[in-house]
Amino acid sequence: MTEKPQYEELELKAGLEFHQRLDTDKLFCSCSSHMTEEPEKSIQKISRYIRPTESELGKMDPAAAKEAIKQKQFIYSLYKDSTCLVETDSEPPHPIDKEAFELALIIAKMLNCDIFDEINVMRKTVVDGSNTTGFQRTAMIGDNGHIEKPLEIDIEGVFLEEESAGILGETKGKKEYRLDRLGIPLVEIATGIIKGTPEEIKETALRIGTMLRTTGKVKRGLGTIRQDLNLSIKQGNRVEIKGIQEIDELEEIIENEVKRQLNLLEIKEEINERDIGKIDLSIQDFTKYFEEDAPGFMKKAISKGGGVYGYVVPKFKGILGKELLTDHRFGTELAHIAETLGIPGVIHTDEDLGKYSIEENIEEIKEDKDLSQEDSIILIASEDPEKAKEVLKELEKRIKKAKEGVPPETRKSIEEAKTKYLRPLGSERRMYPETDIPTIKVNEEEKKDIEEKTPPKPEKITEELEEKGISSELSKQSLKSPHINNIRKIIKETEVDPTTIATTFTNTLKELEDVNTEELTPENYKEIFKSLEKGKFPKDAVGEIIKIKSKDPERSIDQIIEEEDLEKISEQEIEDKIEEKINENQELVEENPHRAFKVIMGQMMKEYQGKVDGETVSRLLEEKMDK
Amino acid sequence: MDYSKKVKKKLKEKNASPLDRIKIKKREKTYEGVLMPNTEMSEPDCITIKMDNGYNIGIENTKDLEIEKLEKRKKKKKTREIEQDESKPPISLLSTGGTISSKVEYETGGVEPALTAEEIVAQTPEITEHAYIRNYEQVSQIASEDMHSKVWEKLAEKVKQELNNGSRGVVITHGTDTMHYTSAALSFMLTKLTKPVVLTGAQRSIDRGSTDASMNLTCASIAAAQSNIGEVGIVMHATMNDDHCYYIRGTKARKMHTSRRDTFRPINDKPIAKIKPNGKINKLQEHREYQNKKTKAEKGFEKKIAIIKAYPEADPEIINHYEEKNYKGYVLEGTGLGHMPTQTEKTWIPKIKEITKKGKPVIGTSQCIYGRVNPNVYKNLRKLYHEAGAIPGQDMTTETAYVKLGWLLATEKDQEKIKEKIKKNLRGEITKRSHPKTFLY
Repeated sequence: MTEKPQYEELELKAGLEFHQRLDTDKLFCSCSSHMTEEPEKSIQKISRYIRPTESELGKMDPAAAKEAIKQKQFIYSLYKDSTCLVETDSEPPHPIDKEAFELALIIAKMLNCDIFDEINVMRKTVVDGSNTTGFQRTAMIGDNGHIEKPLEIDIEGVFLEEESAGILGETKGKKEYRLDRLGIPLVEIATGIIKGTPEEIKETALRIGTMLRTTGKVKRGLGTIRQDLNLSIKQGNRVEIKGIQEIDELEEIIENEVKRQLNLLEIKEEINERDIGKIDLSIQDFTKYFEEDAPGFMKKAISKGGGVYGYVVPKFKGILGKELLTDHRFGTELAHIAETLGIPGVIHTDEDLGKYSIEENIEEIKEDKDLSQEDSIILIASEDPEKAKEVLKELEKRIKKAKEGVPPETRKSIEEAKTKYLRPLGSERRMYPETDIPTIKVNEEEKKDIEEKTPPKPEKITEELEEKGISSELSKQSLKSPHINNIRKIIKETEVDPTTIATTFTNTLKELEDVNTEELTPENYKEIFKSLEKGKFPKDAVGEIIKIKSKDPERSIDQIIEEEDLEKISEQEIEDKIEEKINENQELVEENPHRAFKVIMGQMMKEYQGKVDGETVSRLLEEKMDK
Repeated sequence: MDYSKKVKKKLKEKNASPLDRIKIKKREKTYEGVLMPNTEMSEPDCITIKMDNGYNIGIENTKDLEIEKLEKRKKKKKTREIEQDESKPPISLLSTGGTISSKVEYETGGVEPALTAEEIVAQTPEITEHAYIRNYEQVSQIASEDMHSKVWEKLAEKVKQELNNGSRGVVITHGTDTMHYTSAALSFMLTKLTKPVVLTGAQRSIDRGSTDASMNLTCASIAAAQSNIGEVGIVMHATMNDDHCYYIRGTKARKMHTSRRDTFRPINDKPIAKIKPNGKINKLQEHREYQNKKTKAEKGFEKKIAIIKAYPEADPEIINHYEEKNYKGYVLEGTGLGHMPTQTEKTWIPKIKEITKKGKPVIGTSQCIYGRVNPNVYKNLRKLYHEAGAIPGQDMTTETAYVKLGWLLATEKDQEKIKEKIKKNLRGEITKRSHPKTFLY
């Protein structure tokens, strides 16, 4: 399969869900949404249990209910600036963060959604401990949207919700989470069905990503935007892939998933051809074959009271070993399922048994059980025979599903654009109203106001910048900048050369490495450029001024100019100085004007550090030397 | 709140009521979903529907908005109830209201009182491992802030009956705000108590997987069914973790945080015991021992007791108001060691003298919360407690002093005996020694 498949014929259908973190405070408290670089340095840890709630328990027998409760202990790490009592479920949520809420409305509008008249925050049940409350707070903002290109697609809904806690680790019966991530505002965008090639789907996703960034208030960097992908092909089934972190990988992930599904369909045909009949596997204890000579993990399982268990799968030779993707066989699918149940590996007779040195043991089983060469054996090792049985039963279910082709399931994005089994598809999570937060009315006036605040489409923005005389390259750079809104605003509101403005935000700011410019507001930037417009300081000093202002936002620009001695030197003074320099270097000027220019330029810039523009000096020097 | 008249009219025309499936048409757009009842959290003129994806949205009523009823509400499936193990020690569960003894209607998010012991057990099946709920009864259905002395008396009577009729202990579910008033009231009203009477509640609602109700209820049931404690106490989370609860003496407990689950702390006292949800009980200090003896209830409460707090500029004239209304006793929550303004023109001493001369008891407590009132250290204290005749409340909390006074005034006629009993430790409300470890325990 080196050629790309005909996706249209395959009836490839995709759906995307974007989860974009917003760069505001947390959604339901005033904590910083900035995640720590050192999650191991928590200020406190708390231990909790999340219980299945009443009606779920009501359906269980007492033993099962008690078991369900016992299993889950969660340890939560707290941090200095990013957690308060709200994250620990020890204080009711504060009112929804205004900035995040407005941003969600803007995003909904940008995607041409209808915004609802009244927004209701809901509680969506979560029992995996990733939320200290046992539910995630989420609100649907609008529906019925669309984007026109590169593919024309529907936007089914835009949602505003809280990010879950980040996982730190898992040991037996215990899961550790970090609470700095919990409560970061997240905008979710759900698309309608997308029909197109993997490349077109990726381009569409990229465009949505770009649009989100034009708000200037979304977080950037790894993990700050995640995609879930729903995908199906003809004769296949819906498969959901969670947690795609790189949009650029989307194309390959889709290609791989299509490939995987096509190969599963081939297996289905193969099973039909072999006329395998009803698959009914009986679990057997194979421990006795491994008591003397076995790899370490088997020995360990046996010594701890468990053993080696498995079954014979008749007429399955070659199927378990069939490659669905490079280095990803049907057996790998089984291994992934076992992994979710806590068994790290599955051995089958289609793999190279030499790596475990158990060829002889297997031969013995085959002889004993009188197996044909066409039969396969599947084995797992476990300290707990009951656990082994449970896992083997799950694997049997999956083997039976091979007859149907592609099972509907939820998978997880992993490295190399591959995926692995996570859980069965669509265990619907219950939703009910969040009674601690009043509903939010959005009236017509507010909706209009949002429309005005909504940034234009990406190509409109670059067009607008180019019209102002900014090069096409710099316009594109500006579009990608988190400061795109500042750039547009300042171009509109000052007379400063647009290229200077754009360059300041795209390049100068980047050069100020150790400076934290996060404290600066759009108004602060405007003040700086207004001063530049009035010629109060030379253009080259912009960086220096931003740096000082960031460290001490209370100081006015005038104060900074005066106190740091950054006033612009008048052209007359520069001219006088140049003449002086030319006189000093008379000889050089005559012998080697080119070199003299460089020398004088250097001296001037050194003497007037930051107070003159290189451009001005060079222009004046050229004029003088030409005379 | 309810929907506005206009919305109600539209709904009525189509015979649509909450939980019916409806279709709404507005400006060419249609919405389909289940009609939700209006709550006080949402606008009366916005119709809330639950869409098929589970989200609720509100659609503002306009002239052109049309409603169509699609389907009548579906009948709820009854949740299965969990059977109890009758071989476990029998306890009674009395509920007074509050979220802990409620169940959630997940469709609407509404909360309803649980009506049977099985419904409570369905929520916290662990109880069945430690106790058998012999009887479950709703004594009242009121929020904690609305609690009053009639319910205390009803509870005292009920507890007496339960303990004398086969229950080894009693668990009372209660809203948290005034739980420590109720625990103090029961401490005084239940005389000759030798069995565990445990109050418990929840700080986080029971709909959520993280609710503290279940561990609190489990530990309270363990305390009632298994402990050898013969006193009234509050059993709730000891820390922010879901690992154990404290059994805090009913006269020494106080709610110390608006929302944390470890809100109840012992004041000037250590907890009586640590109770783990697995059934382990660690004794932390001396207490009255469990004995299978008859319990008596001495009910009664004088409602005309005022709690008055001292603060800069506090005006003693306020006493006139209470005196006009014929108040019978006072608790003065003083500053520091138990001061009231004394040397300024707003001195409280003459007014307090006036009251005490009438034979009315005045107890002084401290707004420091922790520590003991002292009548001797400063001249001003001596004026208040010796000259004006206020009674130092020693290390009682203001709340307990209030409840004690109200109970004494209703159950004891002799003025001198009342004063004597105020000073005497009756139910662990006054300790003799101030243990260094009890501060901020």
